[in-house]
Amino acid sequence: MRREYASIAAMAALLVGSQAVAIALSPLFQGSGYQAFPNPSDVTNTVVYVILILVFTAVILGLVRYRRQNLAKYVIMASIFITLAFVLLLPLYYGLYYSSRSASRPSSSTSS
Amino acid sequence: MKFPEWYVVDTIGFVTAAGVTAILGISFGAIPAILLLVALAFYDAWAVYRTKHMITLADELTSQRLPILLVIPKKAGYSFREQKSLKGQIAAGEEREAMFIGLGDLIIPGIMSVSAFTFLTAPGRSFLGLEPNAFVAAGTVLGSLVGFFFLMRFVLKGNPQAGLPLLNGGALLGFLLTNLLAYGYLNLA
Repeated sequence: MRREYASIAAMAALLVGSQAVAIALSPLFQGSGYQAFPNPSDVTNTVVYVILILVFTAVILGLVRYRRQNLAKYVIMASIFITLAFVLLLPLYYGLYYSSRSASRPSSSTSS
Repeated sequence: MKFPEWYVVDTIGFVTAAGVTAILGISFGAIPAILLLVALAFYDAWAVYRTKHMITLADELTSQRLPILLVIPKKAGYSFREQKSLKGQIAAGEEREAMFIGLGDLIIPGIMSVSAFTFLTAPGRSFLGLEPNAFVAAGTVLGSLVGFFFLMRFVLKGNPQAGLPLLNGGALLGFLLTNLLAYGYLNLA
């Protein structure tokens, strides 16, 4: 039981941590036009996204049922890879940008 | 990637979840986000308790060691490489050596908090040194955390549970309460 409390605390930290990181990253992503939908206040976004989830789930379940587990695995690994590329690229880019800027011109920069 | 351990899976899963949460959060205004949380809460309950296809999916994907759920070991020395079939363990009534939470359970309530932070731009009251939008975002995160602790009461009984009804329910309650506190009315921007 004690061990389970530690696991639960770890899980809670991951839940809160992922949301905190997401909130911290969101202005960066928004500034770079990373929105998945052009008009965020449009309710049809929700419909489109839910349908996408259902279709993706159906495809993966179908692949599993017809013994194409490897194909399902590659589809998911490719999706995760593309997502990670997107997610990691921007902070890396900004990090390099600011570090190179502050290294080359400490205080006289007035560019906007 | 042939035999990833649980901490590899968790690191990739955590970064993916945070990034996807940010991207989707800035893509859903308050009303579309609320509708999304409600719709997916019902879908999750249906897929876990009624058709059980979410359990099939989780079982299949953990057996492939894919980072679509986070693995939290209950004891030191646990190895994800030796994790047996979840369905088999559930059927045998065996105690599992680790807990599992889907990335969606982190991402979907998080969409609400990022959306609140991004789109609630109207002037309102500041709380605890937080701007109103940050206050509502924090309230949404806290709400999902409260939902999470209720969820754990069920999870400890050993059966697979749909996460989203409680996580989203908590997030939405937190959003509503802090929104009313900060704006004096329900600000859906």
